Amino acid sequence: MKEDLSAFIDGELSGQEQERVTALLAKDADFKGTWERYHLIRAAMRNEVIDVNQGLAERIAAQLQSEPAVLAPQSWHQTRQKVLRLAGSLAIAASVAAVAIVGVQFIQTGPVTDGASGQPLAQGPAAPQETIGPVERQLAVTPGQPDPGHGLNLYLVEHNEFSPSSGIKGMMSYGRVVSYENER
Amino acid sequence: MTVLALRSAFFIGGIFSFSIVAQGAGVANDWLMKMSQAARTLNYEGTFVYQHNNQLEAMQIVHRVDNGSINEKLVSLNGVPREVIRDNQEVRCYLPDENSVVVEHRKANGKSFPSILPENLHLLDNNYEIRLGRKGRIADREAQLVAISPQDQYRYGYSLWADSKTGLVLAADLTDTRGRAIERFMFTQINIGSDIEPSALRPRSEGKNMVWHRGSWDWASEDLKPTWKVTRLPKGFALSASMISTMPMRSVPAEHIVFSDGLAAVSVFIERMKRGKKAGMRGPSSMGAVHAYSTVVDDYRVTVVGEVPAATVAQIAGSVTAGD
Repeated sequence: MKEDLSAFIDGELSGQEQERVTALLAKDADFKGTWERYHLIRAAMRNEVIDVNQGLAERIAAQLQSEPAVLAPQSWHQTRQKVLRLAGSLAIAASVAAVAIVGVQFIQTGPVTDGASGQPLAQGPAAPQETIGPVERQLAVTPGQPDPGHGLNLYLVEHNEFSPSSGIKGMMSYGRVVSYENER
Repeated sequence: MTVLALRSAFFIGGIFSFSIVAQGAGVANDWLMKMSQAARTLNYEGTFVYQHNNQLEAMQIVHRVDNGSINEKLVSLNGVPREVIRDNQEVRCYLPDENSVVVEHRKANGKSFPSILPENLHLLDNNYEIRLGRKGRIADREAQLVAISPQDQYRYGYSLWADSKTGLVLAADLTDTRGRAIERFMFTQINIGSDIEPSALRPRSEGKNMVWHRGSWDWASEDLKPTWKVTRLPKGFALSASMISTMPMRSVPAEHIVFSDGLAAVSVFIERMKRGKKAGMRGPSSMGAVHAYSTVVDDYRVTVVGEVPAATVAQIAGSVTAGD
């Protein structure tokens, strides 16, 4: 069933299978809880912005950071199994599970309809996410890379050329390139 | 009768104040175009300060226009004397602390440093509220404030002070949604319209003993349809350019896709990674108001860079997928 859930979240199920999972989600509270936790973890892994208040977000981030396996994913698909194991077990502490149920209502603007009524899902989970908030987490910084600034400088020079705000400020926008040394 | 008169008065008053607001927006938009025009057409040289985080720095700028060709120079006046020289062909960054000169080719048929064009103003109006602000004084010159507030949290706001006489931007603050400045540029001294000798644009260091890194690109790649797509592009952003180029210090070409909301831009870079090579920078990073987010999709490194909030680049980076 967990495999079904992950396939469902990835939009890999056929129409009929989707309906089966959707129906189960509507009536099985435990199943729905697991599904919500998967979503929360996936959102966090993709660093999707979770519009919850700072306290909740910090607790989630702290919990995720205590699990180094999730910190440097190669890609979502490759690490999905790891995450599922993580989610399926009780490794996600009760504190996270508790906020997950609250948090997911903020994360999802698409598939989750109404937590109270338990309406079935209208569509797969790839709905556009409109919520946006101040949460920023360092989920996937490779250790031993002391000099990310240089790389960023290269991109910034390329990027500057195409920004209309550079068209207004002119060379001032290159101030970021020449000044960056102290920030690294 | 009195009621009717009152109603009429309200009605007329309503129309009147509406027209003032509409006119205000039109005038503010005119100022934006004036700023864009001034930045391209005027000779100027001066000193400005750049504040970001808790850092304050001073820089010198020289901008010379000769028969429509623009030559400019930016030098850091404190710390390491890094320089950027920009002309019609290339952008050269002299980085003495790294003993290197990084050269990037100018691209995109005059699309670089894109102007604020009348035909793009509706885009701007959808994403920002643009108002004419108070008058003030910057670098000993009379200046006009144009306040640009974002309509949502996907972008920053701008407080732009334009020289009253020429329209050249004398100060620019980037502000978050609460109106707090997160990055500030301000001229402290400037000469506008004076003659500038070509020698003023020479770099201090010729870079003779430095290592030169050059990028390359193929004109034919310009405006290629992007082969990658962003499935959850924040609202208000639209594709504005795409190309394939090889950046300095890179051996493989990268796809570069630019999205813009009329004022801010976000670049998406997609580079194939060499087998067994580490992905380099990952996750969020920032440089003043510029935020970046790097991630890996299959065998590709995806880097998203823009003068937008961290959440905007993170959302874009999280939804980059290979096209069909």
